[in-house]
This record gives sequence, structure tokens and C-alpha cells, in this order.
Amino acid sequence: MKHMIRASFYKLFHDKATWIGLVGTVAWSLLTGSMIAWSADTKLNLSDAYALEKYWSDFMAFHAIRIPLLVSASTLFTTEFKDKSWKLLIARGISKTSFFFSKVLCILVLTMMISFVAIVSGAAYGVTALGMQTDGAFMGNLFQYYLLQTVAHGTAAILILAISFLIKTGEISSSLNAILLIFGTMALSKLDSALSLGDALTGSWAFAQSMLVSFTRQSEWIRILIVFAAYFIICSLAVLLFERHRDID
Amino acid sequence: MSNIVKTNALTKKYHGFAAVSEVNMSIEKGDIYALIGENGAGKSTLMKMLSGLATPTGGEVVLFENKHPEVARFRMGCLIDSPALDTRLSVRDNLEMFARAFGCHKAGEVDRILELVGMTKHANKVIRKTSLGMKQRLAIGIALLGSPDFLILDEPMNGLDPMGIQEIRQLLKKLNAENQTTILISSHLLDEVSKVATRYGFMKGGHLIQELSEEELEEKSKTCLRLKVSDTAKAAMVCEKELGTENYEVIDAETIRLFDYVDESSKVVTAMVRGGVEVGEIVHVGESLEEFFNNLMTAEATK
Repeated sequence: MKHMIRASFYKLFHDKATWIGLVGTVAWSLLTGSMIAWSADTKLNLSDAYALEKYWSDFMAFHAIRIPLLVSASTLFTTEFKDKSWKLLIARGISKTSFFFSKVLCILVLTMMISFVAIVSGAAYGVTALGMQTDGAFMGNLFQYYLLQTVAHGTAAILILAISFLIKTGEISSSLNAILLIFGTMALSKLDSALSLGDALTGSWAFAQSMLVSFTRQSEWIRILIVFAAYFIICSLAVLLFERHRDID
Repeated sequence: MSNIVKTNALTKKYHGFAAVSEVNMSIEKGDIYALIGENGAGKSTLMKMLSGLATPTGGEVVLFENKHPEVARFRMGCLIDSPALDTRLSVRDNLEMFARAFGCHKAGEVDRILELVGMTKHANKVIRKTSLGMKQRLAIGIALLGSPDFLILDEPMNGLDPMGIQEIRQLLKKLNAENQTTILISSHLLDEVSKVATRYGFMKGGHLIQELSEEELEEKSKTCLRLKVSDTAKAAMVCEKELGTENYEVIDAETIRLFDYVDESSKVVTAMVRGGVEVGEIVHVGESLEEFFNNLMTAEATK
């Protein structure tokens, strides 16, 4: 497993897609910040809790992180299936389990990096352009918010990986991931309303986790971690059970 | 001699169709085993089962005398089908990545492989921008990472120019001679294969129809005169008494093969006639591996 992890990280940091994803995240974050700055609601004192909450929820609502994450995560996997380079690993005795978990680890590290870039960009924009206050409480909130967003996006990343792994055809898996990203939350939210379930379905949906994390009210740790663990276990089991006896062309 | 590969009734069925059917094959240490067969004969499927890419539906694979092949596969290097490389990384990055994955990343290993497969000059090229021949060399290089004891090479000469083919042939011979590396190779270039192989396995319709050593194949394919005669017993006597040779083989009731006097057919006919043997036909036969293979396939098809 450790050799496969080393190899996966080598690929992660030598693959242009990783750096394009990170640069894209910075650019997208700055664009998002500018768009929010133009909206009337945020012309408020950003030391005010409501305004801060609004700023960050707007910031995340523009999919600042998820789009590059989706692209990077999918390509990270699908190129190896498309090029069939993964069969050289399997033929050398590396198990599909090691392969899968090394990629999970990679994508979680990538999620941490992308979340870090986005949150730092958001904070930098807020401080320099909008006069956001940077006291100790703010920094504490920012750090916790970063961790929560990382776990929330990690949940989505694991689902993206599992879909890429199971489908293997890059175009199909990327399209399905995009559909789930764009319409999944919307569809579940309608279902929640129709069935009077509150936010039971939306609240457990991988792609909705980021939007449910609040900047000032950070009591969601347990829920976020439970959802993450559930996706991790279910997706891993689905991939490993399905792949166990599947041939590699 | 220790067994590197042993299969017992190895079978792979796809929706009822047997791509490989009850193959019993054994490869011993130091063999260069050529797997030969037409397209769809089951060569690649067999190689995939040996390398763990396909799960057998019947039988078993024993690698390095270990009944758990997945444990033994780290001693193998493989090139199956087309070269499977990460097209977004450079030649060197591919080797670096696979060396890490195989647990054989140490100082100088990547440079050693680059030199071995003649890719040092192209180390920094991105795979997407390399020719098929270069990809093939690199794929062979990846298979050689960590100096595996057993190599599985499916069509390794594909896409290589004549010089490249010669270099790879010499490389395989060198690995086999110096490191006792066992090699399983399949190729459509039968002439090329015959220059390196020490054992042959012929496949048709998923079956391994014949296994021969280099010597056996030489014996079977050496040049001779094939005579259709009225009486093979008399013809045999003529060979021994008139021509003074025991270097002949009675094939059936009317066919005899004579391995001497190959370029003196008139002398043979005269001796036969003088000995009271009618000669219906006399043919100069000399099978290359290709001819032997074609004849074998034809014979199998008519069975």
C-alpha cells in the first residue's frame, strides 16, 4: 500500500491537471469574490456576523471549489483507465484495494489543497477589498470553517472517485458527476419538500455538504463527519465488492 | 529446474464462450517461451490470467510454485496488449511513478532502464508526443523495472522499426543469459520469435495444442525429402542398404521422410527404383517456423 501511495502522490504532483485545478480555483475564487462585492447585500460591515455568513455562503454557493475539484478528481482517475496504465500496476501484484485507497488519499489531500487556496483567496479578498476584520475570533472561525469545508468537499470527492472508478469511461463518469453536482441537490430538495422530510435527504447528500457548513455557527462537526464516514464506507464497499472479480481489458 | 508458471486446466469463459480452454502449460526457469497462435486463439487472455488482469473461470495458476499467484506477481514484469502508459506524464515521470509503485525506486534505477531500452535521449518527452515505437520501448522498460524474474511480453515488437526489433531481441537474450530471466513472449513475427525462443506453445481456439522445445521444433522442421512410395518397408531397406543411411522416418503406409541426400533427389529415386520401390512423388520439404505453424493450424482445422 505505501508504495502505491508514493506512486499516486508522485503522479498527483507531476500531473499538470493538479496545478491547473489549483490555479483555476484561485482564479475562480477571485472572480467569485468580485461578483459578491458587487452585490448590494454585502455592502455591509463585514465584521457583522450576518454579513460574514452571507459573504461566505455566497462565496461557496458559486461553486468556488467543486468545479475544479470535480475536473481534477475525475481526470486523476479516468486518465489511468483511459491509458490503461493501471493494468501495469495490477499485473505487478498491486491490489485494486491499494490502488483505490491510494487514490482516495490523494484526492483528500487535493481537496485540502483546493479548499485552502479557496478559503485563503476568499479571506484575502474580503480583507483587502471589503475591509473584513481579522481578529482572533475571525481567524478561529476561518480555521474551523476551512476544516469543515475540507471534510464536506472530501465527501463529494469520494463519491466522484467511486463513480469514476466504477464507470471508467471518462466522458460518461464526468457527465454523470456533473449532472449529480448540478441537479442532485435540487432534486433532493424537491423530494424533501414533497415528502415533508425537512432536509433529511438534502442534508445527507454529498454535494450539499459544503452549502450546509456555516462560517459563524460551527456546531456541525458530528453531522459532517458522520456523513463523510458513511460515504467513505459505502463508496469503498461498492467499489471493492464490484471490482473484486472484474476483468481488466 | 524450478517451475515459474504452471497452469492446471486453466479456463476462461465469456458468456459460455471458452476463450481459453483447459490449458495445462508449464514454463521453467530460464525458458524463453513463445506463445504462438492466430488472432483470437486465446494468447492474450491466457497472458491476462497469468498476470491477474482476468480472473479464471476454471483451473488454477501456480506462479513460482506458489498457489497464491497474487503474492508472487511482484516478481513479474508485464507488457500486455498496447503499451499502457500515463500519456500526460513524461517518459522519465512514468518510470519514476511505476518504480515507486513497484517498490523498486532507488538511485540510478530509472537511468539504468532508460539506457537499457535506448530512451535516455527522450527521457523528458511527454508520452503523448512520442511515437508508438518509443512507447513500446518504454513499456518494455517499465516491465523491466526492479529486474523481475519473469517477463510476460505480449507482442513486444509491435511498432518497432527493424533496428528496434533487433535491439529488443538482443536485450531479451541478454537478460535471459545473464540473469536467467524467464520470458513468456507472444508475437505475430514468427521469424523474430524463432530467433529468441527456447520453447514453443501453439494455441488454437483457446486450446494449447502443442508444446515443443527448440530442439524438437528444429527436428520437426528440418529440411528433408518427402517420398510417396508403394512400400515404405522396402523403401526403408533401400535407405539403409543402398543409400547407407538410417536418417529417415516412416510417416505412414506410403510416406517416408529422408533427412540425408536432400539435394540429391535423382540419386534417391534411382536407388528406390533399383530396389523395386515405386516413387509416386518426391518433394523437397524445409519448414520454417511459419510453415510449421501454418501446417499445424491446417492440420488442426481439418481434425
